[in-house]
Amino acid sequence: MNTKIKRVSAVIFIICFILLLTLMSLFTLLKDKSQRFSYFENRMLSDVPQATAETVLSGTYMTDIEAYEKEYIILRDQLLTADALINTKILNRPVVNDIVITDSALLRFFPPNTETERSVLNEAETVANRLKAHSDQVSEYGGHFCYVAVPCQYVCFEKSYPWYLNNRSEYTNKSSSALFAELEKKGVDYIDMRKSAKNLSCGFGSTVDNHYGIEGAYQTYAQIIEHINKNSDIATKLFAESEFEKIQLPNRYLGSRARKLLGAWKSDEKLSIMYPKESIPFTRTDNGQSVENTVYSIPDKKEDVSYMVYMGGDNASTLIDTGRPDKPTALIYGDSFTNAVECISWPSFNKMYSFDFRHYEEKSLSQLIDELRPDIVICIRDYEALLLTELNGQ
Amino acid sequence: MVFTSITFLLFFLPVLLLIYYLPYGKYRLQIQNAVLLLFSFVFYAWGGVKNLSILILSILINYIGGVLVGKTKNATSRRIIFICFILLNFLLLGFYKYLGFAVRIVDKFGFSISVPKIVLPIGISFFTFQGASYLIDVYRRDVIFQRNPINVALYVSSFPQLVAGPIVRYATVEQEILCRKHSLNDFSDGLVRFMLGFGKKMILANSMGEVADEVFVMNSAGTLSIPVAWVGAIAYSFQIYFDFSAYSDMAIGLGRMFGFHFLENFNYPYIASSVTDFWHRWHISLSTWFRDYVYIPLGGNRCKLPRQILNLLIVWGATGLWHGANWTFVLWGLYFGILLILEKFFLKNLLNRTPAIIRHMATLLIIIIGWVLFRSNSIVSAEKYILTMFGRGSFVLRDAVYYIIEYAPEFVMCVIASLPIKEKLSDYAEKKQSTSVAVFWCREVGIKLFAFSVFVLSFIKLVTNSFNPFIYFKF
Repeated sequence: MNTKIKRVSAVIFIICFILLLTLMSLFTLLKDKSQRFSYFENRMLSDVPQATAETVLSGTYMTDIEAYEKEYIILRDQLLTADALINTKILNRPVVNDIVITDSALLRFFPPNTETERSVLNEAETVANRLKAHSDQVSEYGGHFCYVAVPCQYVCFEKSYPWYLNNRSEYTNKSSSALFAELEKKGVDYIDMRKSAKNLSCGFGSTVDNHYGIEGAYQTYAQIIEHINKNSDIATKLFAESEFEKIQLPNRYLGSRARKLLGAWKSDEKLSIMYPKESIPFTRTDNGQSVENTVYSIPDKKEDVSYMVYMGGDNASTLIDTGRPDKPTALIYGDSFTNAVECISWPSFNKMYSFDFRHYEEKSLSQLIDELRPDIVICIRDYEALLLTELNGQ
Repeated sequence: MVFTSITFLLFFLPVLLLIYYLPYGKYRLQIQNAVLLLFSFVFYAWGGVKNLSILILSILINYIGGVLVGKTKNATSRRIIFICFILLNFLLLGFYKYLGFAVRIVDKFGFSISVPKIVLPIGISFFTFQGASYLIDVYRRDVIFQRNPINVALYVSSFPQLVAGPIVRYATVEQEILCRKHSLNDFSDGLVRFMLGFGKKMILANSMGEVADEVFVMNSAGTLSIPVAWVGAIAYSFQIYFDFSAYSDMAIGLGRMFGFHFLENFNYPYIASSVTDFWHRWHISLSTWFRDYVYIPLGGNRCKLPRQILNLLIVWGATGLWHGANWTFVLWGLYFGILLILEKFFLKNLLNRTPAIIRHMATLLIIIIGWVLFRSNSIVSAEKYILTMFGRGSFVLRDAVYYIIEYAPEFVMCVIASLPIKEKLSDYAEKKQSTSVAVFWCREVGIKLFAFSVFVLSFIKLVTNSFNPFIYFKF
């Protein structure tokens, strides 16, 4: 009897193994590989590697094939999700897929001791000199330049990091102090939203995304307009919160942090949008092409939403034209942190130009200022990018 | 190709199993051998087709050498042929693995020799030693030379142990190459072994590798603190053990699935109570290779004390060098050589009087320090690391706490898996299963369920992880 059970268990075991491998290989081979976009990774999956004599002889082709197979294996998303669930729910790891899991938010993970000795002071001076040059250029024709430093998520939730994890606070404090000291010295107008914001970790920054939500964007917008009205002669209308209609989107908000956990972490946070109650017609031009006149890109109710709702994501250049020449013209530049602010601030301006120099290459900022002569130039940079000099740091 | 790859699991292995078990009739075994050989070539060529020529060259050297040595009657001629072919074996290894190292040494004396970039073929140290052992055994008349080139080729290149061992002696597998039996129990037990080895690699070794890699980078960057240095050293000790023993488990398991019974390569080395004991448990196939083919021919224990010490130093220097063309490996080998000499000739009485727990902890400490030396890129880097471990650095707990908390499940599993719990349970089950139904079910069904679960979890890790080469592949 025991021998029979032993034999039967061996047969079942072997059959299960062979069946598992065979089915997985068959379904992987038959899987439709035309769908190349990986939703949770937000990237295109690799193309079929091409075999050449050199790559086959050296083994590179086989390595590429392996990587290709891993990206197109059947049930890949489900297996990735299972891994995230095991790590978050069963093993309770503090860091999963480079995301720090805290009670209040999903945060970015900084590996131990990755900060190299950087010359913060030199970098701050370089950045400040550039901003001073832009500020002077704008002032020359009577315009106003304003630099806005926005705390990104890890700065908002600095205190939420477990004590044994790197929250980059030392670098954050050093870099921001150095830059603001230089800006003060050079007389460049700036706003530090870290000081000005209300409740950084409760309403300003997102719990599931690197960016802020509409609430944080509104606070930033209000600070900018108040600042410009106080420090310049350019009268700009500040639309109060009550002058907006705020709508919370019912969709699941899958921010950049939550996406890395493949939705394994449940969050109550929702994305909101704000429309001015006053009807203000406008036209929108993206990268020189006319597009639909909306500042929000809202998917179907069943789909997840992300920060891309704001302005439809990053564009090289955008022009919102409201056709009200009595209002000032603004030029806003920076990376994705400008997007949410643009969605709220456009009603305050006649024309609002927006540039993202990560994607825009036609002209430099100086050339654009010369050409467009906007009344207000606003640079929005998050705390992580304060001392960067490439692209939007020009 | 590696065992822990999608290509191997989903395509290579199922197709091989199907084709291997299809033949029947009188020439079944010969066809199976040919199939295994062909697939072994494909397995090896998957890492680069041009490497296959080197493997085939090694096979030819050992096959032709074996035939000539086997057939030659005259003792002097036999000896000359043997020396020539052994030299050819090691010239091949020397060219691909040690030429650059030798040139760097010569250049230190003022020369400036340029050497083209030579890519080290995967597993060359393993299959060279394996082939050489066949040739030596033929020369010593411990085995009869094999006339069939397919059988020699299969012995040298059999994919389960081709690229990372264990180093199999021809005598162990000769009969099985010629007339092995396949059984359901062997296949099933082999599969369990393979699955558990797969889990060891994907779950334990890879996780420990993440910790070790990051910590050793900190050492290079000069940001290593004392607690993290210890965490990193322990993590690497686990990584190298589970990485290598996992491969051996998978090799042994796969061997059994095809009817081969390879010898064990590890025997819970981290429970060793002395360095001597450790080396009876670690990479057994390599240490016995050096014992049988280098140490004993040099005179072994049968010489005076100074000569014995010299023999040991030669063997352990060579053992270190086998692992890599770098002074850190040579130093690592000599480090253990000196400790073994001390244990064998000078500290025997002291060891016998020392309580077991202290002997065990001291041995572990010695092993961990040895692994730091082994892992470091240079002697300077190793020195820096070891000095940090022993106090020359900051005492910042933060990073160490992160690693311990983040990888707590793996650290705990590593400790458990380092202990011979499986053997104790197996012995208990052996005694009880005739009387206890529960024990029987646990043993026969439970272990399979456990292995299958481990395999599934490991497969999930495979999909989520990036490419993961084995450590010993660079040998």
